[in-house]
Amino acid sequence: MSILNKVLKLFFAFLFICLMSFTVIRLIPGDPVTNLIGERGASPERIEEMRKNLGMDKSIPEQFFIFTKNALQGDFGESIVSKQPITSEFKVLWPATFELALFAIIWSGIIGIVLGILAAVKRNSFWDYGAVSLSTIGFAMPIFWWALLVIFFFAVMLGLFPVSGRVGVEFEIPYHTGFYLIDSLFAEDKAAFFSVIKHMVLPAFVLGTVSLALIVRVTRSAFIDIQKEDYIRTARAKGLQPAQVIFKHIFKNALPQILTALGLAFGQLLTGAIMTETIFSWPGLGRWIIKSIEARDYPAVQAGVFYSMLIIIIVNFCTDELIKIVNPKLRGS
Amino acid sequence: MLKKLLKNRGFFIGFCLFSFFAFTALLAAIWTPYSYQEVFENSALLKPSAQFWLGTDDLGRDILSRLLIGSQLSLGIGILVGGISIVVGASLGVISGYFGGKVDQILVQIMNAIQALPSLLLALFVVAILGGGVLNTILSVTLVSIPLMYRMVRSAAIVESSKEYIVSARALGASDFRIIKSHIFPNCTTPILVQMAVCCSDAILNTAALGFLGLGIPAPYPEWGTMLSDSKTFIETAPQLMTMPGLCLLLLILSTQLMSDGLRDQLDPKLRGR
Repeated sequence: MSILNKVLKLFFAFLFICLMSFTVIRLIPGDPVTNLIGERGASPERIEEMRKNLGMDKSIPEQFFIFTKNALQGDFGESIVSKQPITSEFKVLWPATFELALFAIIWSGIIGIVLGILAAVKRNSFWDYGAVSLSTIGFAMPIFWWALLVIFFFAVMLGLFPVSGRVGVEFEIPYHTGFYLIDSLFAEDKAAFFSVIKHMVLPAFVLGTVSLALIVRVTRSAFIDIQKEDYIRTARAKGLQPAQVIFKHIFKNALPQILTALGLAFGQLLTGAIMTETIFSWPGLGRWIIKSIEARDYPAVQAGVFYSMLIIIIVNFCTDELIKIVNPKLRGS
Repeated sequence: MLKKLLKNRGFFIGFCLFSFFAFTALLAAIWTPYSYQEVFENSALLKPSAQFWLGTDDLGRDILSRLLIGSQLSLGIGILVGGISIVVGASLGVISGYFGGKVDQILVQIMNAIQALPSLLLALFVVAILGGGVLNTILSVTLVSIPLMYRMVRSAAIVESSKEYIVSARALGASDFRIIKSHIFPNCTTPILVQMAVCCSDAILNTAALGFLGLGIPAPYPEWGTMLSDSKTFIETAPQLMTMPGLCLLLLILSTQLMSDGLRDQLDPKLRGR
């Protein structure tokens, strides 16, 4: 029953994002056909022909049905700018963004949790004030300014890291998975591998800062809450080592909240990726969305709406399931 | 209440910063060193000097004047969006929380739909659909801030409407409008204020982000995000260009967030120091 429920829920979520991305293109002022084919001032015969090809001569519910069917097969038509099928473009783009986001969430997750624990355990100490100020400023920091500062300091002044692209121009990485770190290992190209890592450092650092603020704050407040519980006092009174209390009792109970924060942070990363990728010329989804919007490439924008919602729904679903695994109380609800 | 709030250190700092920006915005209305559009020949990318206090940008325009006008823009948009979100979001929230039932369900679903995408992404798509410009930018950042206000006020209104004095007010024959006007709304003031500060800071950040991406408030308006985006090209030759707009943006957003945190502490003293 619960599995059926989940499938139904996901199905409705899917229908919902189809409906949203379907409506987007029809909300744009002007004729949807000219918008979709991107040819202003085309002859009436040509427009009529395209109307038929795009299925725009059918009724709206019928159009929506066709759109949903195509979306299920991953077909969003061709990009106006590159004349390539959007799905094949997406296949190359998403690993770039995913790789970047993954590294960002890994470093910010580890450091954020450690800092949050330190701040909560040593309350009102230097660590606590440091962590709180860090997260307060991190929340207010406009990520694009932060990126510029980081570029200025680490690239312009110190000259340590490159600031654009995923790999040095001299390297040619054969396509296997689209994840350059894995692909360069496949190709057994050590120099390329290190070049990929070097290109990753600054964008992943900038992107992770936003989620760092959130994770520190949530970890700290979850820890402070749980420290006050009676069973923690009992655990301490039993004579458990502080480390045992922290990791076995407090951390385990704080995990659901921390996981929720990580899920939220991942959603934020999508927004952050738009800014970071634009600044660091990272060939991922975020930069592609901005470019499509600038070029008025509406089929691509439509697919962008669809894919970003899809990613968020998948991430939310996974976090929910993970939380149920770590917190038995929530199972079956 | 303000006196009590100002004893909160975070709120005090935020309030001082915010007052400072309010002052610069008002100042810009009566006086700026030069016009923000005035181009000085042969004086592009100058370092700060007695003539140009913060230097000049790549076209030879005075940065201080542009910053001052920019504070008007950012602060104006922030307050405007905060205000609209109160008018729309808070009223919808109170109605939804007080009446419950079908209206509530429909409104919750609509707000969920708006929040299905991260705020900046949604604002981007709205601008992509409607096209850029001042009005569309404000519209898009307002749209994404309304659910924030709605949710908070709705849950506060639900708690409030289930209290016994509301039942007795109804028993005394008070109309729904009267109950909302004189009982529910006044008791939701603090969450509304907290959330107004949040909406304000979100609006400022999103406007600047749109500006930075070149999709927000168009030239020649000296919006801070646009100024930052212009300075990107000169990061090696004239790094002083990017310092001030970014710093102002950070401090303004920080001030609204500190104020909202302080207000939240006031609302729920148990949360203090989180």
